[in-house]
Amino acid sequence: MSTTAPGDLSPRSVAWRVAALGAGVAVLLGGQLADTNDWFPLGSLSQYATPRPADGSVVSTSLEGTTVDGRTVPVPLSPAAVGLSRAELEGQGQRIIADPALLGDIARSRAALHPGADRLRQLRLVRSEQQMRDARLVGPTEVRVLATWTAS
Amino acid sequence: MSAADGRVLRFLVPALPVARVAWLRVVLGAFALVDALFITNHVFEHVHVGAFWRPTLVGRVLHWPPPTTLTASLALAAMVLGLVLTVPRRTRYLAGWLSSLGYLSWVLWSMGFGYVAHDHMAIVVGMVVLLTAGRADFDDQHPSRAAGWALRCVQVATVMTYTGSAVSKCVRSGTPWDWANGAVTVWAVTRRGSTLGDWVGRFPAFLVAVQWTVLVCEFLAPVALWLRGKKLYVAVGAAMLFHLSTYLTLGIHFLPTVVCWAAFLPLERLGARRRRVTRAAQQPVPESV
Repeated sequence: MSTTAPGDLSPRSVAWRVAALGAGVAVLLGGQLADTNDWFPLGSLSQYATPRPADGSVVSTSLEGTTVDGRTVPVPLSPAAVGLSRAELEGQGQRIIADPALLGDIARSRAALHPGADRLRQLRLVRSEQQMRDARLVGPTEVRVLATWTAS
Repeated sequence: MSAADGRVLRFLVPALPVARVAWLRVVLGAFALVDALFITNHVFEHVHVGAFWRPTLVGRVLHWPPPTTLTASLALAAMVLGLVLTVPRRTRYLAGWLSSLGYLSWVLWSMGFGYVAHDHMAIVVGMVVLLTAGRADFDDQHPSRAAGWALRCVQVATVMTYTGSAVSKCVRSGTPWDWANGAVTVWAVTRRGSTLGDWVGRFPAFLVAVQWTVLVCEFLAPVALWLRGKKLYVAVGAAMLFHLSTYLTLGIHFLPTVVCWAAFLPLERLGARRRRVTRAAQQPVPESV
């Protein structure tokens, strides 16, 4: 179908379209080199791009709470449970460590989404790490508390 | 202008049937709604975590506010209305704007909390560029370069999703072979495995071969822009099979990119067939042409 003679666009209309397409591709490739998500939708496409050494470790982040009556409960990390996904929380982990009060926002979001759930006295951001050898999980899981919020 | 310049221009801004834009708007507009309701439906939950609102560059430039239940509902309503108003001819152009503005607002909210889903690039590009194609009717088979450019942009964004991710792998690894020879698939099935994924994970050498194939195919994806007829359908089919396999092993569907492959297909024939049928019903005399 691309064998048209006159076309329906002025030279100027064709020119900006060619320039825009070229610029878009350039920005997208630049986004890969800069490795940034900030240029969405033309930012990084790095899903599963990080090479994983077979003798590395698998790190995951989770939430753990203490209810007002003193019980320790796992707090599922999903938009349905607390308003944020694990990937989003991991993306803002440094902010939470710098300002643990943000965990209070998560506790309040959880309460708003689940009015019937036990209220939390404390919420902790937890990092667990497990070693791999030859791409197999070995050894115990190392757990560390990164940030703690306590209800005032 | 030389002949070569003319060829490049006809490649970048081809004349394609207006009807294909009309159909692609419906395909993407319908998918946008599916996306908002079933894939990125976390926007309604994001309403409660405004403190974590970290908009990407476009959102900051536009001073885009975090979602509220009201604004998220309005965006969703715009997407629904955009689909419904596609039916009457008179409201079709407005419909495209409603779909696009609703969806673009939605993805800014969806991707503005610290995580960006990389499968959304092509459809977001599509929702922007389709706005430039003007009014498009389902029975309009006229070739148009405004329509052709919008479709070409969706095609380029679709294939560049793969090429860009291959470039990203090289950037992250330093070299192309470090990623392909590594244990990324084993790592991935460990984190989000399935029965099939766990089984596949037992064959590391096979997975290295798969990783090499994936990397080479991702780099070669733009070849689809030059394919025609049967070869093009084979390429689209191969992309579908790839996404099916990552879905079955890792649970990653990549549907927002998958639907954009529709821009490669002769969607305009859907309208043409219906018109032929209607015409045949109206006038039983066979056409002479």
